[in-house]
Amino acid sequence: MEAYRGLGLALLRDGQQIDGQVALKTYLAKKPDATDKAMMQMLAGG
Amino acid sequence: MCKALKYGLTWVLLGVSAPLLAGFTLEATGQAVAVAKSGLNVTPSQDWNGLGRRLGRNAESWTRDGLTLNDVTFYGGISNDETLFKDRAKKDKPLPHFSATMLAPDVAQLFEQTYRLVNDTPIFKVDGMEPTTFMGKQGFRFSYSFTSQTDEVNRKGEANGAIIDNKLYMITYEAPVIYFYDTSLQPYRKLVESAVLK
Repeated sequence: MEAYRGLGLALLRDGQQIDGQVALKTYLAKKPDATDKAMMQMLAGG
Repeated sequence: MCKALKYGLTWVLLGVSAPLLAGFTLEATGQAVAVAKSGLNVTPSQDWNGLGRRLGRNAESWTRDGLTLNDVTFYGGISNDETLFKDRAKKDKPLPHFSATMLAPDVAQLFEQTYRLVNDTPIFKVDGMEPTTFMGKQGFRFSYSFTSQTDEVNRKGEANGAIIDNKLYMITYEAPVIYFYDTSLQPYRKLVESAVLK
């Protein structure tokens, strides 16, 4: 699960917005009770 | 009780204000002031004491009762490849550098790594993080807790900030969990609300 978070952030840092957001949405789907849920949702585009 | 906390409490009990001590300046209620040698301006809702010495090129601290008891630190536009604080032990314990490509979670990690080195403690935890608005821009808020090795006091903290034009602007607040954290949290949040970039 954390791998999707790391991948998403790395892609966003690299300017790959769409792929990054997809990865973060996967992370949130697999870990709906994540402590950083609100921040990840914002980065994932809502 | 640790020495630092004892002395801090003595200050409070005696009503001795920090401006009487060398190295502090009064940051008066209602007076807008530029902080951290930057365009970051705040207007305090009550009196604070500014530490004359800067912690970094663009970092400055204020306190109400003593830095060990309540500490607000302003980071005024940390540029790409700069550290949050002066890199005093560059050879042995180099501080991590800010990168303009960082996202909010990276800033929390930068802060954590910096604190672990500066406070020489393995006991540091980011407790939560959420998006927020800071100086009218999309920003972040994270809470943290740590225990400094020097006084072994458990402290809680909160950071509010944003990356604007590739520079990091952030205001943090921290205080001992017992009593002090809650007493200055609202004055800190009012400082954050008053922040503008000029």
